[in-house]
Amino acid sequence: MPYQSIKAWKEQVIKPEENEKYLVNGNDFIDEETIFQHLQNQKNPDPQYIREIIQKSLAIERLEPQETAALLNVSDEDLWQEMYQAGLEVKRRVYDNRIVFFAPLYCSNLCVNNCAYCGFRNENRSEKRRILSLEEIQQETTVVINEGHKRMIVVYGEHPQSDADYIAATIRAIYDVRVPVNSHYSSIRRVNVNAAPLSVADYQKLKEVGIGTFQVFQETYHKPTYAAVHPVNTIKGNFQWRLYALHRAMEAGIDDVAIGALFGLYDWRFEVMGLLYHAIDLERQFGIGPHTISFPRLMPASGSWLSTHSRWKVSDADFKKLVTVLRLSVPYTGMIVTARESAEIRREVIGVGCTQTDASTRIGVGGYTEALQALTHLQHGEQDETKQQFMLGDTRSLDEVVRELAQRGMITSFCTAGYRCGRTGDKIMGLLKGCVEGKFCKLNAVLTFREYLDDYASPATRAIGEQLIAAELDAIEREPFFHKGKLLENFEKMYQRVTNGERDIYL
Amino acid sequence: MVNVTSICDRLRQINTANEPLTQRLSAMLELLQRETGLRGYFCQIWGKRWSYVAGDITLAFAPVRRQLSPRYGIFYEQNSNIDDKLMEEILQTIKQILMETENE
Ligand code: SF4
Repeated sequence: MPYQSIKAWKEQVIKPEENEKYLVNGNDFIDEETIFQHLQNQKNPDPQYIREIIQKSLAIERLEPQETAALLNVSDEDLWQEMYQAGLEVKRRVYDNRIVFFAPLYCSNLCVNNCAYCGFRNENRSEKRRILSLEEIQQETTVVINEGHKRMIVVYGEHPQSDADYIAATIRAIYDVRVPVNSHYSSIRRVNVNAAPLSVADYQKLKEVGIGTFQVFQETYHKPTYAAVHPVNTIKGNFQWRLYALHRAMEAGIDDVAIGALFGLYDWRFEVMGLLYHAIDLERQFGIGPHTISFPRLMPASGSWLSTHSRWKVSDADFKKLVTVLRLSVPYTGMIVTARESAEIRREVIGVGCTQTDASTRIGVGGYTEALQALTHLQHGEQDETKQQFMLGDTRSLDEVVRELAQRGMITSFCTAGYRCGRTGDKIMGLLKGCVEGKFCKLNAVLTFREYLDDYASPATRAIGEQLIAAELDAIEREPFFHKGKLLENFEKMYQRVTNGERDIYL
Repeated sequence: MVNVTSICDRLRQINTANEPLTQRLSAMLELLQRETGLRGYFCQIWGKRWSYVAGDITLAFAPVRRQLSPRYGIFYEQNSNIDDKLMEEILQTIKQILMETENE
């Protein structure tokens, strides 16, 4: 660490001059008055207007703030049912019936910030602090690969010991892990990053090592609430440094970025509007919207009174509504629901259009290796509140979740092809909006599902998986799109090669 | 029949323009598409990541992928106007251009 003290390090992190060019007349894109006005003006929307908005979403057009505000004001349950169905249909048109899986890996819980809702916060003395060495990262990665995962998201607190150099080193270490399975090797093919906002120069270090998506959640777009839960003397206390984190990432050339809000800090309707404005500003300034949107709900966290007492906690029914409105408002984006949520809730929101989720998740630092050791000693791999940022709602194995989805006719995808084929940034945006990328999703889902069934699935999962794959192959054969050029022929050859034991084949 | 020497010369010619590399790469692919029907796009390579930088943004599936330099690669879809020899000449020319100009 080149800095003499943590204090000296903290003082040089924020570079306000890097944000200036993105402000309009010195203002950021969150204008609370305007958001409240939209929500007020669209009270009691006409059902006909709502149906017109739904049609716009189905045409894969991003909604305007007043349209999203109208959806948020719907009170008629029958209309909500129409919106739920439309959400799933939008997802099917853009991404087909596949769900992408990933595994989170928490590398460090050292953090200089003091966010009121988080177990990792600096003043939480009951948290056991740990930062993984590169060897430990590789051990964790090995456990994750042995579950069958191909995609990871790595998570870090904000601290000089987990700076951009450490993050880059951990990503290199993860990509280097190769684990033998059957007669070949398996590895992580895409590493996404959830870390503190960086400077343009630091983002460039991450770009060099080939990251997938860079993810920063604003937590809350409501400035007074933001100030209340993020102490002003901390780095995270600077609202705009965080708000423009992904603008700077784009400027550095990271063209897949992900936004999110922590639901339960403030009114969920306001946060949905904030996420929409964030998407709009990214589109306006770079021509590229968010690659994914996340909507974690506040969960109990060690030593956090707020995490259990917030007056804005979101009910299960409202959670389903907010996910639906996001799905309809930004139809091209991926939507992530995680194992924070119970199995039941995940089922519900996957049914209204989520595209990505995790399974066999451990979020304690070093949690995968510890869970494995616990299992070998015939104990359960239980959660430890003092090592986690929050508590999980669903700790089922990947195999169990894959099987359940297959029973519902949904195919699990381990596809990581897009970012290795130049389908990134504005190119992927165009393909998503044109409903073309989903066609590739379908083919790559089948190829990677075949790999999973042959390498990792339990007999029960394989049995149902074989039925699903047969149905998918049949649907592909019948789809006119795949008969253009040599696409179908190429795919069939690739499928055969995977069946014969070749791995990591994609299109 | 496409003239190999002429097309490679014209690619080199495009590279002399006083424009950013990505614009010159775009112009090269426009020329190739006009003259030969070749569709493709260039990517910058960052580890496993191939990020789109120039070329046919609507081309979803290009079966051939070729790394041209440590930092750049191309995806393309060959057609019957271009035999393997011509394709190889084109790729070698672009490779050379990239090697010379990549550090700009
Ligand atoms: S939310 Fe992030 S920045 Fe805040 S205390 Fe937790 S780990 Fe640190």
